[in-house]
Amino acid sequence: MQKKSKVSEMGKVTTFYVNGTLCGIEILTIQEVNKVTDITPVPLAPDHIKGIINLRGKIVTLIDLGSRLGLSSDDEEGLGGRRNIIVHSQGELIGLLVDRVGEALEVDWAEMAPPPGNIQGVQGRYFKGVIKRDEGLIGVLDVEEVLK
Amino acid sequence: MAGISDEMKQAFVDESLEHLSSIEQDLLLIEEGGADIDEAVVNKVFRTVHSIKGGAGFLGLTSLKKLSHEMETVLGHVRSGTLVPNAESIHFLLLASDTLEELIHYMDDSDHIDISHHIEALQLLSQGVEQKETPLSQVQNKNNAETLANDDMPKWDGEEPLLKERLPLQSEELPGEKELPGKKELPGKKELPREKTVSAVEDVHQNESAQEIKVLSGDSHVVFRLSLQDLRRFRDDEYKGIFFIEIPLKGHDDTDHKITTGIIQEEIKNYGTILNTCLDLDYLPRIGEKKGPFFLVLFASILAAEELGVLFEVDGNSILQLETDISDNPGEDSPGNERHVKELPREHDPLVNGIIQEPIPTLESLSTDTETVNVYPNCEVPRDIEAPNQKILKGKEPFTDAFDGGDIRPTPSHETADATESAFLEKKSLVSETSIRVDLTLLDTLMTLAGELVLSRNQLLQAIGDQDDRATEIVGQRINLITSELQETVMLTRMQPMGKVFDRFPRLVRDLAATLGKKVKLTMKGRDVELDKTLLEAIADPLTHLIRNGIDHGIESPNVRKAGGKDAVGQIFLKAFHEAGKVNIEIADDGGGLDGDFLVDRAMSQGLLTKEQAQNLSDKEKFNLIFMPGFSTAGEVTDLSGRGVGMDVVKSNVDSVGGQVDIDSQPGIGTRFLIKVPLTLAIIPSQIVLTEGERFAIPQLNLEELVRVPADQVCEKIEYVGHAQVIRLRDELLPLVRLADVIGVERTYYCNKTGERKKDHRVKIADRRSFRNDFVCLMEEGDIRPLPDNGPGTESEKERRQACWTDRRYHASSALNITVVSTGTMKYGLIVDALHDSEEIVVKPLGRHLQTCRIYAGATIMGDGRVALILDVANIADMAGILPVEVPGQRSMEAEESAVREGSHNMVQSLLTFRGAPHEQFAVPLNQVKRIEKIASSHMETLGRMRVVQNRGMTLPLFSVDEVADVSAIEFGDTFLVIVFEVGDREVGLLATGPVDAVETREITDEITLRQPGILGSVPVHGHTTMVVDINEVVNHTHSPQAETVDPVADLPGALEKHGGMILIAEDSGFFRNQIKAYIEEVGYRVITAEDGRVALDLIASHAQDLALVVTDLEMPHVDGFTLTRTIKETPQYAHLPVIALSTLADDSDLAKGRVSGVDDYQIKLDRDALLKSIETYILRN
Repeated sequence: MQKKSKVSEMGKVTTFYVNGTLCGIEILTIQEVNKVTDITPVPLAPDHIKGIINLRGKIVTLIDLGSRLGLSSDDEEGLGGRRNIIVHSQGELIGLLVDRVGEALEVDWAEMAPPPGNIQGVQGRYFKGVIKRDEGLIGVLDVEEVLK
Repeated sequence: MAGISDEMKQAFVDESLEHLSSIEQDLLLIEEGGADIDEAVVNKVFRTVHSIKGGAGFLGLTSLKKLSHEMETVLGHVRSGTLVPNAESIHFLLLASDTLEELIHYMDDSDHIDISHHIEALQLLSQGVEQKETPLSQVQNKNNAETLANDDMPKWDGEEPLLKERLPLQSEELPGEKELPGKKELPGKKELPREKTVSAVEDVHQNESAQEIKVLSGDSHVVFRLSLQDLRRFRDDEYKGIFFIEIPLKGHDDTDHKITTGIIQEEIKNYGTILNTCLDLDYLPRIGEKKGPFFLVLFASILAAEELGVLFEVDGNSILQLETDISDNPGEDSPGNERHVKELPREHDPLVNGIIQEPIPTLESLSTDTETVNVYPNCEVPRDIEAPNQKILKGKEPFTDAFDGGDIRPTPSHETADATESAFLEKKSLVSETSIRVDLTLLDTLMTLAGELVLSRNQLLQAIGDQDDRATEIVGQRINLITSELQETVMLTRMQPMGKVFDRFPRLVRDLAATLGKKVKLTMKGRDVELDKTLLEAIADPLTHLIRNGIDHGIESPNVRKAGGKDAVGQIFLKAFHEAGKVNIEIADDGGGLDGDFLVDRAMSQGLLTKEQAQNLSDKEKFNLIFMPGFSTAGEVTDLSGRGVGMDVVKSNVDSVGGQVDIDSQPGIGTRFLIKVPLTLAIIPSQIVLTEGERFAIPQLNLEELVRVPADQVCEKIEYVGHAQVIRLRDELLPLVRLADVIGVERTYYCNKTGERKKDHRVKIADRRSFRNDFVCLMEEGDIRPLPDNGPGTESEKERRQACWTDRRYHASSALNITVVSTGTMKYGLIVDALHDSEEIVVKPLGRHLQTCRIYAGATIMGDGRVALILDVANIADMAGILPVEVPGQRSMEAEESAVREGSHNMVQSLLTFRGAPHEQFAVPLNQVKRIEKIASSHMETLGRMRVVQNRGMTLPLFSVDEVADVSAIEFGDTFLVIVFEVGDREVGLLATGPVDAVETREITDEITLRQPGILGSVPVHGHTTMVVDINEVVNHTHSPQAETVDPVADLPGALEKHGGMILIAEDSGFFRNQIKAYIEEVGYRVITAEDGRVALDLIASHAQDLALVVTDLEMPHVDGFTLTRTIKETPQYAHLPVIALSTLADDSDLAKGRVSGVDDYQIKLDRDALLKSIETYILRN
């Protein structure tokens, strides 16, 4: 990518799909992306919590991003493509379960537009902003807000 | 001189703190002894201070050296008998030792810390001795002069308001004080003028456990504490705000304090809720305004500040509204405040701010004029200028009387002393340990194990590379062994003696008792009992709280005690001991005890308990009410114990580390708390259970026993008490709950077995299910599920039995697996689908999103890498609504038990019965049994005369009763049972055959008829003569003691002998001993060390030929340097040995004394070059 002379702040965003919606998370908050392994369900936990997994000796809470954002994902079969995005949050590792991980894109934060009230049915408050790309609109998630 | 490295400093800090940790106790001992001096103790304290002085001098820490020097001087007088230790002198020494500790903690800044007042006080003490004057009047006069000359001490000359003076002064003195609480203006409505006597601040500081707001007075004493939670609650209620009101007592009524505070309270109660009150005597009134002490109130009201001002007849400046919004985002404020907290330990600690801050009863009589007030510039003696001098001089006594009966704190001095106390504790906890002392041998063991582990890894890699299964297996076993040993050893390094916590209590008790005007004697036992560091830290606060409570509420005042026929001196017992793999800590007092009915009344009036619940409570459960969150006995909670952690926090703290608290109390006799905590935390043995196809772990700590109810007996065993299902277990009724119900209701009925199995045998399951549902209905009355055709109500018992017997599949699968768990206060049965092994699991915390799921205590990773949740049985009981209310029947059982206990002749014995030969029944005490394993006969190996079996990665030696005792040989088929015991430190197995049963019997063991090796005696069980096996005898008889393979402790090769000379160093301070040793060894001498003169003499005797020189310290326990030297010089064989004495400060008298003893040379501690030169000289001369 070319360098731009205007005040820009380059960064990278990992993109992924949640029930067809293209979202992104700033790459620096991501620890790793994993295949979905053995999930231990936690009975009585809130609905959007898929369970807990063992990440090399650490217990990581796995959150179903679709259900958290209110995008009901009904195809449980497509689990093969599903991935855990492990993010850092308040000194803790938390897994976000997404449908499919796309590419990591280089973005200019200066180009990020404030989020609309709602992105494909998802409340705007979960997003830091949106970035326009050829693939479509990428809603950049505010991880802390999602994890609240 | 060699450069001072960080390691050396650290070594000095560690050692000094270690010594200081006991100084407090020793000083108190000295105080107790009075004129009757225990020289050993005084010497010990003296040496401690002396070593610190030496180290400080060596490291160039001026303040530290000065202070320790002064302390040493005073102690010297005590030792020589010229100064009789009394409360006063010990008080100064205690204060000085506190500061000493602080100086050491903040070593790098220590020279900036002001110690002048300590120095003064101590100097006066020692001068007093020299001038044969009462030290106090010295302190007094000197102080007055001092106050005028040096504004260090706040003065009050009747014209200047004290606070105005003090605050700025402090900030000049102490660097880094910019964030002093008084300076941060409250974001409240009004800005208080600086010269106002009250300036308050909210200190929102976030600590992990509880957030609280401290309302600080201008001089940063904590006046009130209020948890953020409470604050929010009040804000969310209709109250307009929380106000901090200062009501001058004199302004209201000049006659009597008692009436005044009472009246005020009654008056303001009508306008809102009083959160907290206190009488603040710290604020000096201006001479013109004849206002007495202020009554401070923390008050929530719907009124506005202005209206309150009118109501209470105070001016607007005396009312301060607290900004409650701040609590919403404490994060914003925390960084600054955190800094503030960290930087201000000294300011928080009033101990440092003045010479005397606490009342010392013995001082009273010595004070003879009004000037006394000046001596205690910021102490608690009320500056009530209207009060006659008598009052002031007599300290708190008259005030105690005046205020007794009031709802506020009983004594005026209370407040400050409390602040002092909490500051004291705060300081202690602020400095949490970052390093830990570990036994060197333990470290060596760890090192060896680590080496082994590396070695095994290499072997494993090789074995895998070679695809050698056998080798892999062997290495696997090896790694298994190493890992468990490593785990154990690492755990050991974390073990700390209880003394660490216990040692702070004598001081606490002394100060509290003095403050409250009570006489209390503290007896402690079990200081050596060791406990994991984390656990120790976790129980420190609860223990402190219980002890405070004990003194504050438990122990009555001397008058009451005498009236009740008790000794005026109250007793607090503190005892730690091991029992059944747990550490028990007992805190008992012989005070007033708890009044169960009063507690019930309170709980009911606070809406925590319904009438029905109350009726069913046993005494114990009534006492347990004090642990309920929100419970308070407002009538009796004073600020002293009422603030900070409450009893519910005590319980939750103890619960959080898997412990239990138990109360026992008798009105008028006393109260006893028993805290049980596991030895260690991180790795706990747990029972793995299966429900809904998921594994769960239940900590063994909570597990009482496992019960399997065969399907055909389910009908008879399950009973109902009201709506509760219970099972009768050994005449005791246990409430039952299905784990599946607790964790997810919908799935229960359809999925009682794992999903897979259901799919496999669909038809049969369906078949079975109807029967099972029959069961479900039977067990769960009032269930939503429709009953089958003929419900249990109509079906006769006989028919149902018939059904049970005719359906085999039913029989096979629907037995109930019950884990009987205990929450400490109650037991219940948790029904699970299947029981797996018991395993040692590593507890991992759950993420924040799962904190709301209270039924889990954490998670763990199983052998296959999957995660299993750890159940919190206490919270499950809550969730399932199992009331800790005893079901009828159980009570009678308990009564019966206690009746038996009182009779105590025939105790209930729990026995595990089993058989050897089919006709011979044996029993062992159930509590000795660790577990029972079922093992295939083919797995048993015979090695020599030993039978062993591989079990849980260990070789389990097997024994049988017939090897020792004259009984028929055991017969086993394909499988046999092994009852596993722990004998010594290892597990052993006792061969057995079924049926195995647990029985309780009250029969007395006949220890004559069948007594023989391995058999303790006999007892009738269900009409059979049953031989009680003594497992220790069986093992010892069979087991020849040779087997132990202990690593031979390799003899260390003798140190290289370059010069041929060996030097003995006698020095009690490990720090110096090691330093000197290192110096001397560096130049090639052999060195032996002794930690005191006595050891040195022994070493001299045994190494007489090799020794070339002795280097000795002068101050040492048992035998000091002078005596050592004299002994050497007087014994002809040793007289040739040159003796070099080491001293920190070459004191003339010491020098002379040393010369007389025969010291050859003096060296200053620790001038390396000079010392080495001197050694060289003397060795060459010989």
